[in-house]
Amino acid sequence: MIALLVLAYFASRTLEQVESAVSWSERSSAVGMLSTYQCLGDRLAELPSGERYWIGDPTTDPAGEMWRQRLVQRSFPAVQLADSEADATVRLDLRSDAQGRGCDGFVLVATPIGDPS
Amino acid sequence: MIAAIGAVLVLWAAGLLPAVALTTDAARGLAVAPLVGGLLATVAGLASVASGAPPVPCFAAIVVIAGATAWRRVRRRGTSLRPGRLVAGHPWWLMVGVGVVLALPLTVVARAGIDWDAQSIWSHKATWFAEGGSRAREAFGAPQSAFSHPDYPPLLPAAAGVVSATTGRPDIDTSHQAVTAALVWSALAVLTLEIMAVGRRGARSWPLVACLTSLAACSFGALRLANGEADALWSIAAVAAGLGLLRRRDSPADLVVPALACLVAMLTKNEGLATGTVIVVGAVAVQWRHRARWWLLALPVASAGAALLMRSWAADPEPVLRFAHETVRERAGRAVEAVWHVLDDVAAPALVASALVLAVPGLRRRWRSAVGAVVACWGVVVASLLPLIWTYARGPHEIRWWLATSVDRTTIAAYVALVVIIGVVAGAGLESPGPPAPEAASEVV
Repeated sequence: MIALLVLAYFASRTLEQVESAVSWSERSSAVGMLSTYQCLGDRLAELPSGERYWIGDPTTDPAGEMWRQRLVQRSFPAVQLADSEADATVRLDLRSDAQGRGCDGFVLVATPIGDPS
Repeated sequence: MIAAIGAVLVLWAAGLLPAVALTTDAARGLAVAPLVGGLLATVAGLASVASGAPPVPCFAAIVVIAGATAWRRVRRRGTSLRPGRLVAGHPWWLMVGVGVVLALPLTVVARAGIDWDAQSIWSHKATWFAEGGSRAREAFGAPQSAFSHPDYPPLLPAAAGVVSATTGRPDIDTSHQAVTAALVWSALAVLTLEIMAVGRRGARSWPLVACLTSLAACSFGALRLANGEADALWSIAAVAAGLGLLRRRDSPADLVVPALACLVAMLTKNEGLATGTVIVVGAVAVQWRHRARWWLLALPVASAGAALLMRSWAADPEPVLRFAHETVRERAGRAVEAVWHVLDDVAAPALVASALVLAVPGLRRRWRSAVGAVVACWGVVVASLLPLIWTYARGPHEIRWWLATSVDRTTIAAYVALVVIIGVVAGAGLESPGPPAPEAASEVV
């Protein structure tokens, strides 16, 4: 009987989740990174054209692999990326902000690195 | 809405006759039909891309061949297609009620949007399968497609793409979500049937307990059932497969539906392939003396073949940097901690229930039906978590980010298996002792 009550508890949790499910646009906070991506995408869209950008996270993703793939290539292909950091004119570092400013605590810091030639 | 209904109807219709032939009764066939339809669409999708032929004629040919073979089998066996037949000793109307209740969590599909990964990985590739032929082959091999993981297993995008092409290619995201939801419902129905099979045939409490258990198992996050991701599908299918295959079964016919579920799990995601392979090896070990059942080993071989085919078409994946500053031990420790954090609320009651059934001699004898099922479910927990922890420990991504973005969905199989443990113990506890139910021959009402 106790096992049945435990099942009933979890079944009610399922129905509660169905009941409280909201539309995609309303639940951006529930999907974690999506709102961050969208916010950072807005910042990327404001970047001046004519530059070749290299994007990375100095703490966890120094070569920019994760962010290149997840953020830029998937949804914001208009941002011109350099093939390597040496080929870039601007380095974009994605940094965590201790005060939670920027995009859910992430900020993009642009640093000109000059003409690689 | 019409795109969604059309996609589900095509999937169901394609799989219905072969499903009835495989399961030997119409009502059970209705439950399994979407999974069978999904498998047929997958074969059609792969055949289309491999041969260069358009997907719809490939699908039509495969459905006709499968349907004709099934029809011959149904006529030869005299399988009843009338709805009055009992299902596992229960009246058809009760099973229809169970099917309706299992659809409740999936009503979330009306409100849930397609998820980020679901769109970029699964639905995006469904457009290639809907195109089919050489153009799909080009898309698979294009370097700019690498973000969509073209080497991932084919079932979900192939089923969604081929079915969508058959319905005239309306909104493919909607078709993809609808097909995913129908496949998940079918996997839930198979899980429910396998839980019912743990109890004595015809025992009235089991359909209700099995239905409640499946409903409870969806508490890992109902949104994940219908947002177009692959994780819920492979996980639920793998648990159904493990529960059906990792116990001693009297009849070879009992293995057919869980074997189908296992194939679905293995063709849906790489985690499903790893877990399904462990389940099949365990099943062959459990049934070692029945050499005629070693055909189960063909399932991982076929699934690995499909995975290799996809890999052969795919562009080289982008190089992923390894993070050498974390040791394997540190990563494994973090992974175990994160997995436990997700599972702890179901693991505690499941551990207590398992201890009651396995360690208390009086209960072990009285609830004999639950013992094999509890062991099988723990088998699934191990089969899903060991490859997972290994992958997290040896994988290339930064571990905190990787766990934070994935561990709640990669542990769904273990979560479901733990809930099923609670369910089978509840079912065994409620089962009143009585004479065995009549055999199938006398079950037609």
